[in-house]
Amino acid sequence: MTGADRPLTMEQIDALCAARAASPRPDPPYPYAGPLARHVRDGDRRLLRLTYDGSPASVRLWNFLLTEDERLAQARAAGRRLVGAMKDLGTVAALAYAYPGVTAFYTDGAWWIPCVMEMSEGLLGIASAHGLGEGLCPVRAMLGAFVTRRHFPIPDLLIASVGAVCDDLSAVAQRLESLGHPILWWEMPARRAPEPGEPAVALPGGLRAPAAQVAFVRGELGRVRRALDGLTGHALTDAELAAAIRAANAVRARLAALRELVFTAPACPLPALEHQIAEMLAVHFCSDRDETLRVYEALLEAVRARVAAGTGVLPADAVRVFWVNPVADLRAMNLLEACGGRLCGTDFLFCHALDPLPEDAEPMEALARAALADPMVGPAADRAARIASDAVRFGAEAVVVSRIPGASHCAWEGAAIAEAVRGRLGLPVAEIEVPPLTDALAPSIRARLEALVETARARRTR
Amino acid sequence: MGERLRVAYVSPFVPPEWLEACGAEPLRLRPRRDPRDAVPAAGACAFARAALSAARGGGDVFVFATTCDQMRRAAERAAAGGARVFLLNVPATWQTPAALRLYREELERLARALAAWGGRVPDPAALADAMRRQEALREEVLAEAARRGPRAFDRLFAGPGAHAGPEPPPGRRVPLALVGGPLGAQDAALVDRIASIGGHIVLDGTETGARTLPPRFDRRRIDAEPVAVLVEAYAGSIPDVSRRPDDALYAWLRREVPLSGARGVLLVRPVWCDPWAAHAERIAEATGRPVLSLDLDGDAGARPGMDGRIEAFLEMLR
Repeated sequence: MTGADRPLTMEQIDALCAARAASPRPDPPYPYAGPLARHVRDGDRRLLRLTYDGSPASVRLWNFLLTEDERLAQARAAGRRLVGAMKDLGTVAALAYAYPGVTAFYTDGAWWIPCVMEMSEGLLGIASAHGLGEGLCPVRAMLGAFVTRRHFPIPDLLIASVGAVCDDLSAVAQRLESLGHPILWWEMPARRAPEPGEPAVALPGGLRAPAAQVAFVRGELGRVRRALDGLTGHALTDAELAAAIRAANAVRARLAALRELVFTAPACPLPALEHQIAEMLAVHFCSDRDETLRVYEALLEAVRARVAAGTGVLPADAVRVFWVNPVADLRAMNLLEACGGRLCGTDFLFCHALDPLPEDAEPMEALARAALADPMVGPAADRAARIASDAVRFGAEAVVVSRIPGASHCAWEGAAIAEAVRGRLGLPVAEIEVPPLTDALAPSIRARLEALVETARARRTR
Repeated sequence: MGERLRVAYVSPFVPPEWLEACGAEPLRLRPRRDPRDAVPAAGACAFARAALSAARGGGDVFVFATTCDQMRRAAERAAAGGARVFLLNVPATWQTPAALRLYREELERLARALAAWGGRVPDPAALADAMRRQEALREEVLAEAARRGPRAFDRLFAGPGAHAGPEPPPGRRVPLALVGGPLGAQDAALVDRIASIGGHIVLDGTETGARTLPPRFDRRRIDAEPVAVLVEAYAGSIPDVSRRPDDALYAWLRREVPLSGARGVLLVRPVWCDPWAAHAERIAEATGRPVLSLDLDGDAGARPGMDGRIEAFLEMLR
């Protein structure tokens, strides 16, 4: 780790930005360059408590992430149709971006607002006042964002997958509809293994599902497509959809390359926090697919340069940790590294948004297969199998199963995944719970992560 | 003829008629959580945990339904533990022909599984007979419930009745509607507690009460197309909280609560049950009645704190 590559505070990042602005090769133009302090002034106070990667590519990533509300407002002002998707994480967005003049985003992404704004926005309180209390996961912040109308424009069309989804989102979305926001509900059946002799289809991620389930989901996505046709007045052609799938795959291919480099390089070339954010972009391209590509290209260039130079952002002996589930508080990613770990494999609950969409199938068939590959719609055993396989592939030495407070699936899935990983790989596993703000719990989370890292280190010498 | 295959379940979306026609003995359970069972960490729904316990001990086969995430996970865990489990995909949407077709295909898949385990594939005549029998039983129970309250629903469940004794006469007790999630074996005693405190349940709108019973079958078509009639009644009509949108649930509440004469609504849900998480305000608005929310964790028959809350609620309603 060199001096320039060490974790930086926001003030240090902003000083770097000021210096770079005067250099012969300045950062990319506004709004994707420049100091992060402006986002703090907008209320994103968590930025003051995080540490950052100092590369211009990472600063661009942060600025891109933190200006999505501006992009959505501009899209609305420019007359683009806004589609708010919920839950399927990746599939409906890929479909919606096939339409000219449509910007799609996942409104459930609002679950990070309480963290980023350190609860100052009051979204969880608003959710509680509407009956969505602490027994539900932080996705309830989404309802607050609809009530205040301060974090994103109200979409022209809301689309939610239901059925084999998490109960939290389903309950929050239903409450949202009861407040006068109509929702197009589409059904996602619980994915099951094909029965003996039953026609089956290969899904992304190495899964298989009965052909009948794929056909059903294809039909449901057909309903979504017709609704989008109606919204836009444009009858989408299969050729347009195929082009959108190729464009989505171009994004996913760059992210796949980034993941491979970050997880396999001898010295970690990108911090966990920036890596998690990079993965999040793939879900709906942070409302700008072209800029997502540019952000990934910049990150790849920075990471390749570090790998080629043999430099990293963490000590070379950092313990290689596979991380399961997204964290409600981004600071948890910093904590992992402060405890001596590095990211070496992830399952942030949207692996299906990272896998390439099949290009050898009809476009609607491709989307249906991808939707059914969602780790949340299938058995926890499928998810655990992929985690175990990826953990081996990336050489993980330990696994963190991060629980989302109140999430209906975490209580059951966490134990199943932990048992499977321990049983198959014999790796040490820690289950932790990460609330939207970890400050009060940081000592106990830290203690658990340190114990995990120490255990993994001790295994090296055996 | 050997003993019939015993098929246990807890979901109202599992039709006992279908199980009968498959040659099985349907056992709808009010599950009881076995404290000795290893259960998932905090955050797991009390009723799903009880269903997991039941799956490990009741029946030859346990049929779970996908109406909530936690039951789906409980089914996986039961299967992983060696229980013979069938997970029935019940669509959350109900307004499309595709959703009804999905449910029908799931029933057919269930029939094939039961046939492989010792049951049989149902024939239409046997199914129509079973539908008439089960419907007659439900109508008897509903008539009895109108006279003597929620205790009447015990007849729809396997095992001994969940209640301590006969329903005391209403007297001057406050008429209440009980609405919400399912009552497990330990929670069914809540009805007795309410009676002892001064309340009188005039409408059982829990998942284990009147609300989730299918409507009357279409008699004109029952012989010609019994499967379609069954599917329409179960997948197309039960006003459950899991349906999206949940319009049918609210239509039922708007109709039944005022009809029942209830002065207030007790909204019950198992601890950590998300589907019932945000309904108190909506139910109050829909029914025009005050609502008291109660979380159940498998010991509702003996919780002094809960008694105090109910007493205060009744006092307000008097």
